[in-house]
Amino acid sequence: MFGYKKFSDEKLIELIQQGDQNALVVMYKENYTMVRNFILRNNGDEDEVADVLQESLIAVWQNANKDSFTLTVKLSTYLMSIAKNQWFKKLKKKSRFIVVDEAVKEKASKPVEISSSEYDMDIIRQKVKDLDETCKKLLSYFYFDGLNNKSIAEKLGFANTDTVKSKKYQCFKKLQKEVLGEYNKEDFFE
Amino acid sequence: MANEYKLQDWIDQYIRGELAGEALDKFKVKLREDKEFAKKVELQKILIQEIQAERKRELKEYISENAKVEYIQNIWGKKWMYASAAIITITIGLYFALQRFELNKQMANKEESIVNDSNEIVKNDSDNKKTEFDSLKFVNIPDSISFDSNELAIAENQVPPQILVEELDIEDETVEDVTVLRNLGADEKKIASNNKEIVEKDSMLSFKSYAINEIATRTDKIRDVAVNKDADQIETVSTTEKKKKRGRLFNKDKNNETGKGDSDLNNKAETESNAELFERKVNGNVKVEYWKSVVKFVGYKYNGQALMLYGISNKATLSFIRYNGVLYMNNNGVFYSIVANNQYNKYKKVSDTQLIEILSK
Repeated sequence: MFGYKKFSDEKLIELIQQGDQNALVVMYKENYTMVRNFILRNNGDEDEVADVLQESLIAVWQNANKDSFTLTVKLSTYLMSIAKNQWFKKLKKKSRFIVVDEAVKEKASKPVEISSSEYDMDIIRQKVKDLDETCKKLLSYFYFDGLNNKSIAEKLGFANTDTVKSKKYQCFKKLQKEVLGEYNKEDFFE
Repeated sequence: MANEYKLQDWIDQYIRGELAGEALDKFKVKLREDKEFAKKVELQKILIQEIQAERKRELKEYISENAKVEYIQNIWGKKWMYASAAIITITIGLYFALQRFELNKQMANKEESIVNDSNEIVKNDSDNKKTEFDSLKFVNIPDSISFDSNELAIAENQVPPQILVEELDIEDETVEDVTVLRNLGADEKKIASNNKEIVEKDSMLSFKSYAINEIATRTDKIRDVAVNKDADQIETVSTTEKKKKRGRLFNKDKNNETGKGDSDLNNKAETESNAELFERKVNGNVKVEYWKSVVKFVGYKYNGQALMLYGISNKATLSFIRYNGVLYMNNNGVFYSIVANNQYNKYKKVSDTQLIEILSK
């Protein structure tokens, strides 16, 4: 309870960039109270604290993996700023407060862009889950973590970046085929 | 395949916002004009979104599972932990401080009560106070040498001499060790009963009456033996040496006298050494009182009738012998001479071996 902060900010960033998910757990413990107090003071409740904090941590995770990322403040401060933004977004959705800023108001007034996709999301979700481990990791590293091909090659033990590119193409193609082969709404209504 | 590979990359760049300028315009034109291309872009976009969502779900799940137990501890926060620790520390400190305060208070009260007790004056009203022994009457006690049981062992005009520890060999169960008396000077007065500022008094523990065995010598008889040693018969004749009452071991004619008389007094030593010719006879008694001295005086006071003993246990085995007019006290085989001067005297051990032998018989 007194000393679970085991890592410095720099060390935590390094762990995130190495793909160590335990860094998120450490940050969660260290910053829970701070985020909780903020949310409870701003029309939130206990159930929303975990969700906001998790979203914030994931945002940190994604940003930290970008090449251009440089931490100029305390990691807790950075996380708190993300958490505040996350919370305000949520509040907007809940319409619990009046938006004063006109730009924000205009943007908020636009209808949420509903996907006009003809594909069933449940099927797609299932297919993504069913991907093999290597493809799932590769595609996650590329599309979620934002890692470059060189980092992906090191993580997955590929020979070079060309192998990464080739493998990524194959995994994505396979996923497309499975989705297209499984269900097509257009075909359903034909 | 190469084209599809490049197409996929081109779409990825667009989705990730990496296209700009002319490349972006070109992509938008194609997107607008080519419906198939637009479908591909849409599918790829959806798949990428789903891949990202799946990854997000995994991370959230991991955080929830691993941080689930410990975030409860974090609820209190560091500030509350420090505050709690400080409160507990202060409470413990106050507790011990109060304990110490109470202890000091008790100690102070105790000291105060001791001081008050020591300053308390005990008034000795000897006129009204009677002990159980006051009614005792001593036989033939001259008034001049009467003593009061309430007197201290050390009176102003009766300061006992210094007692040397090495001379005392008295078993005393009431006195732990033989102590040396203070040499009371004129300025130190432990006054007798008239003074009302007596703090403590001597106390009599018990009393007992002992018979006095008197040893009589028969030196004339022994001399006759020496003169008529060649004779077959021993004739007893009286002697001119008149001692105190003496008994006769062999008595034919009391009044017979010889001409030898004192001429052989040089055989006296030889005569007296014949202990079997000495006679013991009970002659009177002595009242022995066992006293405890407040100043731990060890000695005696004898007025000729009553003997006050200090520093001797009332359980000691005593016997009294009078020889040549001197009273001796036997305490477990050790003889002490007792002088009837009605004064406080230290015990004086008999060191004369011949005398000891006589007294022992």
